[in-house]
Amino acid sequence: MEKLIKDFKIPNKKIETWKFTDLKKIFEKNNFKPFIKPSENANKSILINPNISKNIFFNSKINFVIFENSCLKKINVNSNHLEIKSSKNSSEKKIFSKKNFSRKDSLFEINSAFLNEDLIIRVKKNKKLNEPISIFYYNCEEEKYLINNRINIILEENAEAEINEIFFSNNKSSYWNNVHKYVHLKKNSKLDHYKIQLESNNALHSSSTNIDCDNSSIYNSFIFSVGSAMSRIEVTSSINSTDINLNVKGIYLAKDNQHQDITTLMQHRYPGSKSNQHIKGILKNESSGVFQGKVIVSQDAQKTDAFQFNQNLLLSKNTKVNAKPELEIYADDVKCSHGATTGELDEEKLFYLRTRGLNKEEATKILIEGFINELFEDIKNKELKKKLLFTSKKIIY
Amino acid sequence: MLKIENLHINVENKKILQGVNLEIKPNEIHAIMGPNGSGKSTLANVLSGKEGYQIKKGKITFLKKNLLNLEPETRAGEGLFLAFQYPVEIPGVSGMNFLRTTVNSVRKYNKQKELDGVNFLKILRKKAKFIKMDEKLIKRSVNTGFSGGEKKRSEILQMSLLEPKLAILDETDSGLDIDALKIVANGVNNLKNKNRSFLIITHYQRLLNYIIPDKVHILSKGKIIKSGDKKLAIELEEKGYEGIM
Repeated sequence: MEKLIKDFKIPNKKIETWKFTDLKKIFEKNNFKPFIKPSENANKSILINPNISKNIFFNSKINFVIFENSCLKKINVNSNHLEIKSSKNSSEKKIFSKKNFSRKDSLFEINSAFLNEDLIIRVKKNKKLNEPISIFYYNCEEEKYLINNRINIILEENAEAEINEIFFSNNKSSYWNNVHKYVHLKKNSKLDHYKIQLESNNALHSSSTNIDCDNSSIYNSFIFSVGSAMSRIEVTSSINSTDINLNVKGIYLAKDNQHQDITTLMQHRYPGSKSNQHIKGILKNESSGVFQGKVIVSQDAQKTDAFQFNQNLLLSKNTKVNAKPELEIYADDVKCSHGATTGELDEEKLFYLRTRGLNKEEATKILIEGFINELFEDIKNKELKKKLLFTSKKIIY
Repeated sequence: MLKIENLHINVENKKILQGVNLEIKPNEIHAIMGPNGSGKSTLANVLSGKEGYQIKKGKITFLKKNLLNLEPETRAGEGLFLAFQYPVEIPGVSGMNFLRTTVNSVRKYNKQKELDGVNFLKILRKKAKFIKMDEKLIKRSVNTGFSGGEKKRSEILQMSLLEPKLAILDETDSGLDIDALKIVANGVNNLKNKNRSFLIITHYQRLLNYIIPDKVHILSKGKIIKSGDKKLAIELEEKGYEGIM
């Protein structure tokens, strides 16, 4: 029997992991309907407004995928080291062991029930991609659709790649984007993953990145989240071997009535791996933000090195932040630390800058940019870094 | 240049300064010494315009202007500089950009042409070399992860770039080893000229072996209880604060 969206429980405050983010409330206001039109044949013309495309890091020479209003529009592969295909035309259906990423809510079931596209991206064994892979999710529909896509990313042994995901829209479209990704990093592979969330301010964004890590793999991710009315971005890792290195950095900027949530879970199941998280938030007006970060170190995961830090900067009196950093450690020989700070701009720093001749406004600007820049220092893609800084400034000022 | 008249300052209704009088003329080096809690840092903070101090009585005139009416950045523009006892760390802000921004802010205030990157770098390199500050340190985030000595040196570098008319050094000598102390002193002595004055706030006489003051004042319980020339500092070193007071 065909399922209906009303058959599912939309995540709400009653679920422990959704205590601070009430998706149901926004959902009910909008009454999003699953988008069920079948995906047309890919490689149709692209309708992205050129004014937008120049701001979204679009470069037609690179490897890319474009989703438009949930349909897969175009796949462009510019390298023999890479394979991108829809799993609908493929025999490999179940690539991932979902048991490593069990969920206590219905988001994945909703995604499965109304799945629009299930894409497979594979970087071949021993190959290093010279150009990044960009995934564009673009929406300009007027209907209030719920969009469900899934991306499977596999880096075979010794493969290396950079993947950029860009979520955007060219108008005030109202939709719910529910995107889930499964990443499998095989032995010695390395992925740099940038996620840039610039959805329309009327949209709802819920996404998860679930990373299965094999021996000696490296995962570096950077989240930049500024769009949508309510956004929930999750990163969950499963550390399935030793000598793995996970870096999750990210920043959200929230203004007006926006709600931004970044939730992470690092599951250290084997000894001798590292995870490092640094998440920042900047909030203005009546916006709210959430950081929920959990590190679980299993009894066997000795010599784990896990670090987690969350910093929030409040630029207005009526902003609200919930920070919940958690460590759950069952091993005894580990190096783990965490912390969270939330506050306004530091008066001492402002005063220091003013005694050097900068007025209050200039000093404030320098401190905010410093707060952002501290994280951006780690971004290896220099062009991207420049554009993200530019976008941040446009949003804050 | 600077005239402080009968200054009374409270912090959270507690009397800290209780009638300070001090006049500094151009080309003079003054030293204020005093035990902990005597009000030395309060005086430095009030001069530079920090908030949180209640001015109960008195007047401060700086270059014929009522200093207490000016914002901290205006004071900097007018030529007042405070070298902080505890310089703050500002992660994410590159030292190079910070220094250029400060220099150009002060130049702009004085209606001078702003320096472009190339010209600024030339000046910066010369001044950094003089106080033996590594350029790598300047490229890093402002004061972030610097040692105590490096932070103080960074203050002296800022002072030499901003070329103030009156520089206040708030316990710049504290926590410095003898080599760093000499570098700081060198920086000050090199900046001495007939239009510039210094107010050196210190706990110990040590720094005054390298920077010879024209006048030494002893601050105790919010008042200047004794003034003299450099011999007073030496006497203080021998007898201690109790012996003098």
